[in-house]
Amino acid sequence: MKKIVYLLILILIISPFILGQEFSKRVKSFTLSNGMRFFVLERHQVPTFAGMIMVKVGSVDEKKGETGIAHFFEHMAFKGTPVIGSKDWEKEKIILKEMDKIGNELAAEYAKGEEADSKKIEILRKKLAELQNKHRKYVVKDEIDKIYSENGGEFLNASTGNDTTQYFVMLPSNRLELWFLIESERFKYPALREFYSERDVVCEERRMYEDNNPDGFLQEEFYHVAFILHPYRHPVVGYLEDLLTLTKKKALNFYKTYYIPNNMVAAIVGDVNFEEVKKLAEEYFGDIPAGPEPPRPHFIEPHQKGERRVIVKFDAEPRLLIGYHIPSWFKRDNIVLELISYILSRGDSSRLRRDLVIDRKMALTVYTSINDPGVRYPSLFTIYCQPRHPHTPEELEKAVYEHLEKLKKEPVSKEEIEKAINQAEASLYRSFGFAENVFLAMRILRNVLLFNDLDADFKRVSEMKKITPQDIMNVARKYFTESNRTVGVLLRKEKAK
Amino acid sequence: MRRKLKLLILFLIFSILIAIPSSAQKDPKKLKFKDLEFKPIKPDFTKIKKGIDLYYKVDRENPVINMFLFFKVGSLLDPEGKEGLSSITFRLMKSGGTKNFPPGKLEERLDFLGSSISVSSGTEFSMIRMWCLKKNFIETWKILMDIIVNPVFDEERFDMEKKRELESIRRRWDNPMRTGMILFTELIYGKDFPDARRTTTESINRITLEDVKKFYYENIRDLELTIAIAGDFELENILRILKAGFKNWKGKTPEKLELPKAKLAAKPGIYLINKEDMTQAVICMGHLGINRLDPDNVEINVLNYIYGTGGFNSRLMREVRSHKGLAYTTFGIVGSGRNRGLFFNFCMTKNQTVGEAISTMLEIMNDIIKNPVTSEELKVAKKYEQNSFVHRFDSAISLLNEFLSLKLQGFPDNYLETYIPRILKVDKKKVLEMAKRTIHPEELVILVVGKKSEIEEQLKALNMGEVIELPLPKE
Repeated sequence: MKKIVYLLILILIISPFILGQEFSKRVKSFTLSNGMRFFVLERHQVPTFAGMIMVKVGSVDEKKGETGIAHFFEHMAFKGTPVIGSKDWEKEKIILKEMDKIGNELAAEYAKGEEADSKKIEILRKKLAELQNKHRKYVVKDEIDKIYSENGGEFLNASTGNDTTQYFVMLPSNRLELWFLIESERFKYPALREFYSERDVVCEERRMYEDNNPDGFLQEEFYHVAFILHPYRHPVVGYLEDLLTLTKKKALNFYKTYYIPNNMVAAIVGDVNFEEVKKLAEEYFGDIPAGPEPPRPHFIEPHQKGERRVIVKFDAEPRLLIGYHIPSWFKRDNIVLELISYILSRGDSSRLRRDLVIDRKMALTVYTSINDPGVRYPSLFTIYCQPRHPHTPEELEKAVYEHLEKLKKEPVSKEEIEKAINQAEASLYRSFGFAENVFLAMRILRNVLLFNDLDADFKRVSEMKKITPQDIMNVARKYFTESNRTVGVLLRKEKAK
Repeated sequence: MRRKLKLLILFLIFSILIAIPSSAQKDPKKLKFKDLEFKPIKPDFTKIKKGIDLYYKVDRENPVINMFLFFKVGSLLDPEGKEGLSSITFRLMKSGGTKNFPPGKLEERLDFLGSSISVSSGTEFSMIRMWCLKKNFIETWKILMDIIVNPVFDEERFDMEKKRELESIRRRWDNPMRTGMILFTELIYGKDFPDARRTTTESINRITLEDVKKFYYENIRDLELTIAIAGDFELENILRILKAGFKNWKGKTPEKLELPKAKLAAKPGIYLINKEDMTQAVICMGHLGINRLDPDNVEINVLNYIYGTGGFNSRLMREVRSHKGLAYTTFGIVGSGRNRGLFFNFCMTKNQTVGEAISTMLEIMNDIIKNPVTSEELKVAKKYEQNSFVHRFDSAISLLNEFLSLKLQGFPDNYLETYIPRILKVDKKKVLEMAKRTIHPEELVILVVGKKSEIEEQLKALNMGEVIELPLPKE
């Protein structure tokens, strides 16, 4: 009996299941001659698949004065093509031109800032609204959504982050060709219709997440202070001022620069056949010309010389956000910091949760994040807390620093490191239990687009295993310093008496 | 000018030696696909013993095991004045430690294994979920079983759970969207309706450790239980473990609750909560919805899709967002519930356009109860239901969830099999008839959370009677 157990253990050691699951063992890929890469993971359990296209463009690539353009273009990519979404493109085109003329005038007026003529703006907006109503006659409203939906499309959406933009949908597996057709057409021939009403929609999105939500409100100011120069400082959704002065010309220019096949990757996960995917990819995406390598932000964030602090007032209970500049994902110190993040806040037995939430009851929530807000460039290690009344953000801040100091002085035990690695390893297998194909596609594409390695997340866990207690002390000493720190506090606004 | 552009494009294309593109733009409407005929997948079933059912689905793709334990227990059972008792009890079953695992040790061990056990409690049902790697199943299971049968309800941890709950109450009005939803629900059902009651500082302070223990022994311990398991397991092992673990568990059927019927509590009209700093207002409007076992509980999805849940294919989204650019988020649904759900419409729009947004939503509402929907709308809604049905079953966990949530809520066993046939039968007449039956503009309660000085005049201009200002409740 005992022998069998040994044998079992031996088998487990020799063929660790972890290796058997790495993406490179299950995912097939090919590259079109224009540079667009495709990744296919066949899963045949149920006749569905998820398709995702990820573009290497995010808010970090935006120019000053054009913040929010990456996210705005993502919205525009749902507005169809001359064929998809139009009843009569020739006639529609004429109205779109008229709208652009007014739109440009309006943007120019807004751009005057405090000199802007509010009456003129009012008149132009009215004209635009009239044209919008006239335009409607020629539009098949939201036809991409409609066609996808009647074909069983679910989870149809897109998201824009600081680093990338991604488009995804789940479809029944007999609709593979539909996915190829719509996705290729929308990126080949974007019609950019309903540009101005969509700009208003994005302004509402901004109001919802950044202006009328306590966490968004704090974060926006926090990143402004933490980053002086690097474009990670501005919000993904953009500034209201930039959104209002956004023109179609700017949007087209952005699209031509970044939406090129050699800057895009695609994943198809689910009940599909690799050869068929290859054939369709060639047919639908093969004819898009490659473009020159897009420009990338060349800002190096200046070395921080002293603590930075920002206090914002909002009609909500307090929150605290602490950040430290750290090297990028690709550097070894970053892996050590990721392990530290596990030690500090993953699970109820982690240091900060155990001490601040459970034992001392000072906080309602505490969590740490690494590479916040992005992974393409050096970013931040952040600690977010909500103090529990009557404890104040100051008290909590002090308590957090005590833990960071402890990391510098006392070696972390082997068991604590092992616990963190076990958690990291387990997290490779976690799933949400819904839309699994979408989340797998997302992981695959992040691995290849951001880290240039299909197995990046798996390898990262193996790298963590090499970290020593001394590494942790060294890294903590190097980065968790006062002069490298930014602190953001949200306090409740005193009511005017 | 146009010719020049074309030439330029051609030149560019040739210059990088890419094959000439087939310049014709493609039309997805020309692609034809067969509608999906997909038979719902059911989980396997067996009985562990009287009062304990097991639903399971083997899935060996990853070496993981998911387990869900559903209890027919929730806040409906909270005694009056002690709102929050069921939720604190469930949380404390884990965080308060067990006979074999004091709280600290329990958390330490789970984290070390990379396993998780989480508790969530609702109004009617509560759930304990376990997730682990296959290799750690036995050890994680032992902890889970101890949480269910041997909780010790540590006093310090009880104090922590209460304090955390009190802090959550302090933070209840931090987020305007949530504020709107909570207070709208209260307006419709009234403060004391069992499904709408919420915790207050007072109710939490009143709860004692004795209450918690009593609640556990009376309402959780030995009551019937539904277990679901998905992942890479051997049935024989699972059966053996479950049978041993629940050997002494009685599996009693809970007493049927006598609960009041829902009545629209607030007077129809416009209510306003002033939040001075907001640049965007939250609009919630509606009245009571339907029972979840309503004879049209499948067919209503077609109406909802066209009206307000079908994303960009819904009228609300298409008009309020896509055409007029008034909002990022808007939706509407004739919702179903234990007794009556909510007919609920939602929108967030800048202060300046509150009146316009509400009028637009009202027009849509009035139209849907007067005129038949278009053939195109009906076609899209039905095809969507038919072709997207398969996604509900796209993983072992999702099909178990789908199946069990229906089962627990008392839906008939053939619900899923009859779902698509019922959808396919819906016609325009049926949609109109359902709309007329379930949507009543004269009963509308409209709640707006926003900056009074900038929105009040717009609300008055709607001519729907006096605008009643409500204070933000002190809880």
